[in-house]
Amino acid sequence: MLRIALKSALAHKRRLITTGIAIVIGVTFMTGTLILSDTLGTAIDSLVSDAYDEYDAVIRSKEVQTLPFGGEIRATVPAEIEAAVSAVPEVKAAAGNVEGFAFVIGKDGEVLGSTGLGPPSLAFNWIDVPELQVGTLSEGRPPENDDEVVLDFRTAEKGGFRIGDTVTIESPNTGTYEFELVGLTGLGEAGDETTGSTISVYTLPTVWRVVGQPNKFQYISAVGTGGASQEEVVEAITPVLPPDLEAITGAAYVKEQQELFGQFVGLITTFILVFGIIAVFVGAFIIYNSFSIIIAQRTREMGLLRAVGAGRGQILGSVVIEAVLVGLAAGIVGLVSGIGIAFALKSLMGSFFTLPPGPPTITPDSVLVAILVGLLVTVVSALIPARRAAKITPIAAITEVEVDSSSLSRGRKVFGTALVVTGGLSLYLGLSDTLGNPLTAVGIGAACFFIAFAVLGPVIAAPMSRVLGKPLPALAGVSGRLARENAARNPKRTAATAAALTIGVALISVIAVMAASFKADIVDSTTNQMTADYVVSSGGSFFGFNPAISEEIAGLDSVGIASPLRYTGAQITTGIGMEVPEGDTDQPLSEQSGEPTAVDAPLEFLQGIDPETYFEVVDAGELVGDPGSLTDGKFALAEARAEEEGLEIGDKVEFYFVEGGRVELELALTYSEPLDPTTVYYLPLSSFEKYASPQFRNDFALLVTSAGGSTRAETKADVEEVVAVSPMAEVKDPADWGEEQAAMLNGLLGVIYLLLLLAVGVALIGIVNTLTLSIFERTRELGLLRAVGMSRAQLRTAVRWESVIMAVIGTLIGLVIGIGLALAITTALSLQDFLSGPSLPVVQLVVVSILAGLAGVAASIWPAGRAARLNVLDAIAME
Amino acid sequence: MSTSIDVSTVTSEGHDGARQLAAARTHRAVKVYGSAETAVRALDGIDVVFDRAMFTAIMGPSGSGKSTLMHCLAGLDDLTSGEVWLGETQLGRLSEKQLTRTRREKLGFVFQAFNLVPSLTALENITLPLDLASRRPDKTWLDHVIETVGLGQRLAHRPCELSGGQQQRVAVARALASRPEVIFADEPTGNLDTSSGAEVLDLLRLAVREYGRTVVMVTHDPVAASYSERVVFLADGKIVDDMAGPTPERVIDRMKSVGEV
Amino acid sequence: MTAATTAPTSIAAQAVHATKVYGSGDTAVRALDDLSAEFGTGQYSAIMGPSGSGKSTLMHCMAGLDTLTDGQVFIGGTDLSELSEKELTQLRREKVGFVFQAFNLVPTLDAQENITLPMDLGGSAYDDGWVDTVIDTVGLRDRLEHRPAELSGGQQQRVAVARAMASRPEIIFADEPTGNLDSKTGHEILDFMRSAVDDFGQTIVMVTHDPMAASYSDRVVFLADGRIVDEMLEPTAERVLDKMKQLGE
Repeated sequence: MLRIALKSALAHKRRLITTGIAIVIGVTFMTGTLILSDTLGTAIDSLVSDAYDEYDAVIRSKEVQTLPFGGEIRATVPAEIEAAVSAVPEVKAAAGNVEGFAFVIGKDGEVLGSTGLGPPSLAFNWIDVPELQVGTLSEGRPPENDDEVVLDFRTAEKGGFRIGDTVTIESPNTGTYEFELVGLTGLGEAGDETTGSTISVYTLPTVWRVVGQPNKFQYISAVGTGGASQEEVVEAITPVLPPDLEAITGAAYVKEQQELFGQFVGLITTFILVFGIIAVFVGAFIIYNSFSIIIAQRTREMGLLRAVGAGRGQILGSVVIEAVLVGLAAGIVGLVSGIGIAFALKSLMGSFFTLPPGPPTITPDSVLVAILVGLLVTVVSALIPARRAAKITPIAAITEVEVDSSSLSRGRKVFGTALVVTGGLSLYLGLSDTLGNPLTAVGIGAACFFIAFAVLGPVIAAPMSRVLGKPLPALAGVSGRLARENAARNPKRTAATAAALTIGVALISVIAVMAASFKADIVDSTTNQMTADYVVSSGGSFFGFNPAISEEIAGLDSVGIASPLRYTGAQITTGIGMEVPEGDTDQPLSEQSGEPTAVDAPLEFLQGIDPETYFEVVDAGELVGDPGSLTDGKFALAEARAEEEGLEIGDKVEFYFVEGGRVELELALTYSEPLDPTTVYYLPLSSFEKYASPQFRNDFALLVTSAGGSTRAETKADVEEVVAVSPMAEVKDPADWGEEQAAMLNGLLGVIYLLLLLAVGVALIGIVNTLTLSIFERTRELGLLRAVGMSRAQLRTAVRWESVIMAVIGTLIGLVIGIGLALAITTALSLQDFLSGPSLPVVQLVVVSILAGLAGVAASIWPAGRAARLNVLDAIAME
Repeated sequence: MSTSIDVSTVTSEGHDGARQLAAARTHRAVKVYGSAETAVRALDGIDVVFDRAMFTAIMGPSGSGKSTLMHCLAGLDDLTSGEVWLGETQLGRLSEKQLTRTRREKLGFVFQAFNLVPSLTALENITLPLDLASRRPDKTWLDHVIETVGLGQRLAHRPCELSGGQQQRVAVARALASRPEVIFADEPTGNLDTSSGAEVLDLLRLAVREYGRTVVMVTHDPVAASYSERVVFLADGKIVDDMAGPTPERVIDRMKSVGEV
Repeated sequence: MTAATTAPTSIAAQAVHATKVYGSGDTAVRALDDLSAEFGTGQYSAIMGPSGSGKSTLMHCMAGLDTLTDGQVFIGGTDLSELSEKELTQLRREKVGFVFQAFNLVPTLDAQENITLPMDLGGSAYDDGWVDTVIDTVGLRDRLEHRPAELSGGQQQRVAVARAMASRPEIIFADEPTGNLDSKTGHEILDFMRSAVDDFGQTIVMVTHDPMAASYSDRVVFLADGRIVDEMLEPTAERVLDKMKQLGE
């Protein structure tokens, strides 16, 4: 039986190859990603450990908050501690480390490096102690004066800076500076490796000034005396530290940093991996379909085998063997091309940051995953057709048995309907906000609908084909009618083929609607709520600009109101206990010792406003309470959230700021229209000085109105003059600014769409495959039509329209599911105040639909050609 | 001239007169296809016995039910009502697995067309039932069969590389190789020219005379029927005649009258 | 051997020195061996012969479904070898009708649509009156909306015959049209075909191995090994059987 299966598979090589392509693509992605992440991980791990390998101990604050996408903020360490640490006998030397943000401006006035998603632009102080130096000087000398800077070699290269040149630096907190470039630095022994971050190094007093955190360090590093182990050094240091600081070993620190970096890499690779999985999933549909058709075609042969004595199990086994062959081959080919892609991506990434030379890291894991995935998915998908093959009766060898069992069982309809009802209920519950976490309910509802579609697909495929195909007879005569009937006659097959496309289209629709909703929110708030004439911002950066600029603008005659906006993060800790290490009581966190703190509360974003001017330039709806009372120690909250939390004016809430500690603030004002639905807590700017971490001490935006006697143009000119001092800051109309904010999503969207189009491409391969195979299956009928006088062109037309119908069905259902799902999700999010509501990008969706129709046409070209080339006599003589 | 024969006995007289168990028989076999308006009564209550080590032909006009009868005898199809026996086994009582084993071990098939698995060579097709049963073929017997059918040069060829006659000979070789009790042949010479057809029929007759197999053959060809020792005539799902020692002329004459029913 | 003695008014189809060889070398088969034959208009002709005699091949070549290795085939006065693919297709639509032994109908179309199929393919308007006559002749008026799967074997063949007649082709080729039918239904079909010739002047060439079917024709041509070996006019089933016996030896 094995031999039969093998020979059979070989005989139909070509057919099986096209069947396996989808799996190959999916496996390629998955493998490429896995290999890449292994490679990147190894590279980064070694870069990081190189950088910090001589640390024996790290002293830092225990207060930490984690940011949503990985990364953390920690409270700063007072400078005095350094001396105390150095004094410890086991410590050979200690040094304070400043790590702030500063951008290097290129000679053309544009920022070098990323201002948003991407490797950060960091400012450090130069450390004299050789063991504690993180980088290596590759050229020049360290900074010695206030006006000197050392840059990383990559940035210098990009900016065309040479030793002796003047470099412009912009700090979000403190403004623009000019420094003389005195040296180049980098990681690794020769200082020629980089993680892609932009690095600038200054003397300690300079960096404190630039970054705006005088007398504070992010952490203190220490190297121990000869004989002491790292644990011993840490033990020796700990007693001299105040309770809110801790000491960890160098090794632990290295590990932590590696993990932090790893998280970031992991994010990217997970992203790409998801698409690999989608491709594989789509591939599963194609395999199922293809094998179904192949089996239908070989009905006679299998009947013969049964007549001659093959058991059902043997038939099943032979199909499974064929599936194994395809899966194995697909896995191997996918593995090889995945390696190829990893190579390509590696050299691409190598231009951004340093990777070790040589081939990408290929672990046994990746190889195994590739082959297993290819194998498993193929075999599992082929199981149902295999079972069908086993049911073929011997009589099929002799008579033309119509294997086309297009009867749809009641069970299917009942089950499908039940799923729809369950899904609907779940969605309703989620959306009516009766549950704590609506997203879970929505998620379950969505899953139910997806499965329901898979189950009910065949039930609706036939009626849909007929409806969609109504105009065809008029358009294309007999060809049209045949196309319509062919799509309708085997609903299971039509549904399975369309399903592959549905998945891709549904996903695209979801993303499109969600992106449009988010963007709409941004644009809406900036155009409708802001009454300011202009907005000063830092041009699309995640960071703000120097507050001194805002002050200067406020002082201009032609300026009426200048209202700054800032952001920071904090956790609401009212009634929430901290993780209390053993032995300690309910003392305030800052007085506890032991493990670092972790607060189990979500991070909230707080908007900093100037209460006296903010409400004049932003329409925040109905105000309850007095803006004037919003002084330090008070906060404002959106009405809706206040109701949810059961808060009233005068109530006190405890906030936990990493830098400022736990603070009780009083609710002084509520308003009904938040500018940004995700940021509902407002704090007066004066509080920022006290509580916010250094990186938040800048103005994110300044809302400016014209003074009574000046024209808008005059005001703008004056403001621009002030702003000119900062290379990054710019002046915009509120609407333009809104667009700019919204556009930050575009880069991300572009990548997502590209990858989803891949999934759609794979689905189209599926349609081509299905059509081609079904043409073989219908050879006799096609021969008859040709004998009776159908021309080749008419035959091609029929095939073409059949393909279009399937593509349109897949797209329509995909749109319905996608849009429905997106509406559900956006509504759920709006209940949690992340979004104000759904928004439909009609144009984009229409474009998708049209493209799908065209794709259907494209997919039919090859099969139609095959059909037309059939030899009439062979076809009808087929016994 | 039609004669009615009582064929309801379980056993029959063999060549040598001794009572022996029938190779195959049916009892009140009825087979109906389709339903309501399109219902076709292919077998209308047939009682027939086929003796061991005999070459029997089943004949009749198109639509007489002859193919259906053979399919049911061979276990390829089930009866709507009535019984089919192969030796002492009632086919209707067998499980799917048992039926499969029966096909592998006790039956051989030669169809009119599409007899061979396209992706296997001639040799592999011949040993197919044995391979399916994981039985090793008796080399001597196999060589003998191959020599008898005259395919020594063609063993490595695939069906598409063989002529129609050669393909049928491979099928006969397959039917012989596993030494089954009964060989069912459905219009085995239907697609062949006269000389190839004669070769195949010779082989079938040889199987009976030299190896003692039982052969039941459906045919519409009087010449083919003349190779058999007995012809059973069917029309409209019933047996209408039973002729021993057929010659082409006698068969043709009989067919003339059967055709006028 | 050639031409019939009953003089038809014209020749509907003709093969002249037709030769068809399949394969090469070892497996070469000479299906048609320098065969010449004429089929007159308004005649019902049968072609008979044992398997491998070339009867199906002759029909396929005359119908334009296959090409000759040597010789010519004419439908009406048209030499098929001179036609392009498009023209051949058009010929099959307009001038030739087919009835096969099985699988005659497109499963997704109903009876009515199957009957008008060749004309719909050609996009030509058809004579409703004639189509109605044909439908009534074969007695399918109440089955027009049914699909092949809902029709019995005999009804399907009647639809096929109706289709072949509906386009009023110059010649209808039928390949074992009653091969899969029981005797009663078979007779019905043959009756229809006979009346098509008698009442409407249709030309029919039928390949068969069944003497009973052959008896409906006006003339039987006997083939063996790719050649015409005999011919019979006004056949009856007995005479045909006898002739077959004779030829079989």
